Amino acid sequence: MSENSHSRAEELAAAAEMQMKYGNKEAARQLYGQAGAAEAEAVVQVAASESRTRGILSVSAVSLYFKAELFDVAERLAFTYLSGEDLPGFAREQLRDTLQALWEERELRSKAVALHRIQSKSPSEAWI
Amino acid sequence: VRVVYIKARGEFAKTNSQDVTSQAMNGATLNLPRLDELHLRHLGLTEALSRSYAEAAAVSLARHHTSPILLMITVDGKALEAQLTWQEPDQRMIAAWNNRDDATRDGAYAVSLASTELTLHMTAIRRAETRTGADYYVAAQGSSLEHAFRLEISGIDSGDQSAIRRRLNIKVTQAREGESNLPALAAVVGFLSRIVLIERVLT
Repeated sequence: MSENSHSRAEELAAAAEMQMKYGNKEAARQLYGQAGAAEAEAVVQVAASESRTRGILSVSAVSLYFKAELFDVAERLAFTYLSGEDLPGFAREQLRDTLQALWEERELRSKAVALHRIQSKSPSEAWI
Repeated sequence: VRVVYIKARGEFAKTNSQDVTSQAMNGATLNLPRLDELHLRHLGLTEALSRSYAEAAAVSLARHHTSPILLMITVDGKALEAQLTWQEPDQRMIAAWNNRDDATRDGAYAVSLASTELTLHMTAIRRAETRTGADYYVAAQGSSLEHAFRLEISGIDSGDQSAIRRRLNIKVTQAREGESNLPALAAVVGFLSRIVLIERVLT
């Protein structure tokens, strides 16, 4: 495993969390995205014998992209990992949970956008 | 210090917990590691996060107590007491941690990790990213992620002992019901009750 990628992902994720605490959501999202990329790079470099480590890092990479609100990237990555045969059960379970949450979040946002569009029209337009 | 017995658990702690047991049985006062210096040994914490979690713990503890207090730490049903000291938060810190849920969650990170270090000699080696926060992977010194335990942490601001026990049971049950094959520890911190419950979850 690349310790550099792995360590960098952790540092970026910790920095993102601190930005969230300060209320800097945009900066946090960017840092989470960079952390996700570093973690995904670390996953590729994990030795074949370290399946648990690969599972942990895979879940981490997808979760970081989810926190970055890069939903499409997170979804693609999760499917890539799930299509592998040697992923441990705990990682499969957590990836499926994350996908479920991702789809719910996307649905929620889509409804919020639709509602906003309706509310921004005049009452008569809304019924047309 | 009123001492209750804690038994060393084979794969958990080996000789290190026996040190703690021996100190406790000799009547020595055990001290929880300083919360604002956890990053010195817990490689999964940065200094900034360590200090931030310590602040959250100080605010959460100061709502109910004055430093120092004796904290009851129970691991797999065996308990001991340890002294927990913190710096009294000033008004600015209290205002910064006005969100009680955030303070309870982050404070629980600090207290749980310090308790795990004291009783099991395991330290955080990395964060476990979750959708809403982060738990930690803990391991004995020199161990890698391949041999780590996932530490799932939860905090309760003002619940009594039964509320803390209920929360722990929920976490343990959830972990057992899943198809997880990752060994885990569940930890619940009660700030009012001065209790930390830690339980091993084998799947």
